[in-house]
Amino acid sequence: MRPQPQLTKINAKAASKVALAALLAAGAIFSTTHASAQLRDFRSINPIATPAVPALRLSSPRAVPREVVEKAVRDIADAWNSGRLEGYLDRDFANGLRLEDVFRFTLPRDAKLVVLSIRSVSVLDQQLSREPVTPHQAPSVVSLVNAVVETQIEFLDGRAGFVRLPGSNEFTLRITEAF
Amino acid sequence: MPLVHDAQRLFPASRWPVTIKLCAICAICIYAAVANAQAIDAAPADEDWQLSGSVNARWDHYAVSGDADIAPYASTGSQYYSDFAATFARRISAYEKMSAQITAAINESAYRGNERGGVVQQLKALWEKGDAAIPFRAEAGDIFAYQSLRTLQRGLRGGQIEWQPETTLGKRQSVLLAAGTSATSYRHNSNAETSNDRFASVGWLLEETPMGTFNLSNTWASRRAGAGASGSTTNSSYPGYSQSVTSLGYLQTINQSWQRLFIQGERALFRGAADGQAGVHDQASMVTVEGRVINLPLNYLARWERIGQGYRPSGAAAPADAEQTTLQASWRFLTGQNIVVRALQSRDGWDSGRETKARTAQATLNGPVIDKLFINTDMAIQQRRALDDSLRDRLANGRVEVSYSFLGGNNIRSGFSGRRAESEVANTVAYSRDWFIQAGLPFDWSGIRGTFSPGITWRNQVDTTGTQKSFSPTLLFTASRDNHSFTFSRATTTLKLSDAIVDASGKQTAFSYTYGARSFRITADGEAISRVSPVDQHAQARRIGFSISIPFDRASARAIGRNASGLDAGAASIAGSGFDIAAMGPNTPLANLEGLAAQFRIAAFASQGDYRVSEAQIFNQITSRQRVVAKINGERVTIAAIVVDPNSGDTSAELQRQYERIQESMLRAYGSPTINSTQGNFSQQLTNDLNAGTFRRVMEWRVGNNVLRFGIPRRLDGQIRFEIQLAAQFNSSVEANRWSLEDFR
Repeated sequence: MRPQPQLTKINAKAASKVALAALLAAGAIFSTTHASAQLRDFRSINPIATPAVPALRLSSPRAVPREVVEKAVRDIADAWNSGRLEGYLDRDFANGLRLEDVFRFTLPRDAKLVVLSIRSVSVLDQQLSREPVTPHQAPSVVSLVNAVVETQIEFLDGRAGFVRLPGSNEFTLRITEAF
Repeated sequence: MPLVHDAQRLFPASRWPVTIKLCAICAICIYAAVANAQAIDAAPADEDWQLSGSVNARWDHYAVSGDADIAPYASTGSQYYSDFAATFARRISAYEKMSAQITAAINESAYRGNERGGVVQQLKALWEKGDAAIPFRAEAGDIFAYQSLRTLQRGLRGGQIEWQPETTLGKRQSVLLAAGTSATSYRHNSNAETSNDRFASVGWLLEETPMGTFNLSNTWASRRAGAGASGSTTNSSYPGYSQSVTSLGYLQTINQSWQRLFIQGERALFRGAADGQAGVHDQASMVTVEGRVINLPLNYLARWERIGQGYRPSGAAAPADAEQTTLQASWRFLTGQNIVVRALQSRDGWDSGRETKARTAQATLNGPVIDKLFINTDMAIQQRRALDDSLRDRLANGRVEVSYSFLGGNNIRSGFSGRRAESEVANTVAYSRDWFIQAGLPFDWSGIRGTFSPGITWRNQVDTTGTQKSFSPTLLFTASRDNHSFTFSRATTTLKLSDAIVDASGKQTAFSYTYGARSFRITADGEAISRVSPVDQHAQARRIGFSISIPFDRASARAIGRNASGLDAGAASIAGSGFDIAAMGPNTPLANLEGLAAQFRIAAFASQGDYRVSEAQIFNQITSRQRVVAKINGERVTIAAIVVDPNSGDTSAELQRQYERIQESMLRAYGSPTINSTQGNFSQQLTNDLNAGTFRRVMEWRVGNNVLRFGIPRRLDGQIRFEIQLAAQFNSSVEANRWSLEDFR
């Protein structure tokens, strides 16, 4: 396996922040030719900005069960490790393709993301949506949840051997529950 | 600030059904600036009108002595034009905006356009309202009507309206109505109704349903029969026609554990008249499967397209009576090299019984070899055979190019290309060889910055008509200090044919001065042509020109975060990649480039003399090397550009296909061009035609206070490449076609 000097360098600079953020930053160097190779022979929609679906903000937010957040974080880590993270990324996630390129071209192929611990979980916003989760259900509660997660990226480097890149990450999750 | 608008992924939980979406993985500090552009519901209302534009005037004097037949200028004497471009924009609320653009000219120059006097060249009005019962976008004037590549894709003068009603069937839907005419002028023309094509089209696009994306459209086109233009010296007539084409397009993305697949197809049915024949029924089909392996830098593509002999919609550029199959794979190495292998089979004339089958195998490798040494190679072999054995030939060509940067921005580039064509029917062999070496040597003498660029090109071509050798030394010198800039170029070509010697030399000097936002430019160039045999002919051509550009701008008091045109940033971006060249246009601070590279997901800019260069894939539809380039003067950008280098093995048909793909993207992004100058056809002698001035492809748009130009410019080194440049002004007219970034290689 080839060494990853950029990874080590950036991580050394930002060790106290987040390893994943360092990976994303490194991706800017390499995100070039395959970012969006999709051919399309017919028109696409240029969305018109519209007001958001009317929703009622709950005056007193209710807690989102911690086990729901923990399972979400671990599922996201599993998706990260199996190359299916894109299924969890929001459609409007900024630079999603760039992140994808980092996975494809920058990240060592045996790199794994390990969740060490989940620290604080806080609800940033909570709204009552008119859109039910499933048909014939009551309106749902949409919560924007922030979780601080201690993670570690692990891989084998040809020169440095076993490499661990610890970091603190803020996961922002949108969780929809039945009301 | 919310970054998301919906939630999709089901997530089982113990107590409630729960939907979870990862909005952002940490990195808020990194993405905050980018996310601002994505948030659509936070912009404040703005009641002010914003006005921007420029007034330009240009005077040139052309003179020719000697044999006018071989001189490059057909019209001599003084030529003058003045043009005016303005954009009005108003944001009424966060969900409603209006804008209008106008470009008009007083033209007394044969090199500016065919019409004289006052001419409205471009007119466009737009109204977008997202808080209506059904969100809509209406456009009138110069529009680009687009349904699909095989049905309708062309600039029209007319109107179109798009509704985007909410849907539960998929993520979004759009209904588009478009109507217009192919008229090239807003002036009243009594013959226009007989010579212009008229179009009406309706389309319904339903995106991202569980079954995929669907696009259904129908386009009608017609033209009245006529007796020809008044004043025409011929008795030619315009045959009338009426036709209709119906199309269903389909797109689906399939995510598997190890790969992601994009499947696309289109089936189009044509009915009506084409080429004088009525009652024609024919069809076109296309299927594409594109895949990428998750966790491996491997992409692959299989594409099949078949178009019937009678499928000739006048609103599309689909080649009739053709079938093409493409297989392609690419791999990107961790060290940055990219390799592409491709196999093509084309069957021209398959539906008419005049079939010519061509099989091509092609390989391309480019990327860094060692630090600062970049290599670009490609090779192709092709076998062509006509069904009736009237054609049997083999073609082979290859190219190797290396470029090396050293000592603070100096660079040297050299390359060799060869081509061999063997005809089994005629029992002949033709070949050509090219070699070039060029250098770019930047300097900084007491605040005067510039580049000194010498180069040599040698070419040898042997075919049944004889031997043709040419030798071309070139020199380019640019210097600038503060508001002053100076350019000098000289090219001499000695062309030796079997029975003739042509000696041509050209030189050009340009001086420009910028005062505040205003710029003045003086240009002088000359060309001397001597033909020794079979008849001695000599001609000298000279031109001196002066131009002035005065921009004006009335910015809205609250129009923060918008570009010069008053439109939202990214509104004129290139489809697919989302790249907006205006974001790095003239006067952009050098320090902003790094952020723009991240925003547009292109590689970081590398320094190359007075240029900053980023390898990128701006046009997804083509595989040739593409670079985003910023020419720097001091700490600011003076020219923003995209340079596309076709592969040496690309045939003229492939070059034309690439050109049309880029053109289609540009038209979609920027609408109908202010200038569209076309001359000659894509032929096997494209290099010669381009340098002889018998081939030209240039389009021009007004973007804010700047001019956006796309085309294939003439170059001192004779290289064929597509360039898109955004500059305050060009020192070469569209007709002269010498606007390439000469010292950028």
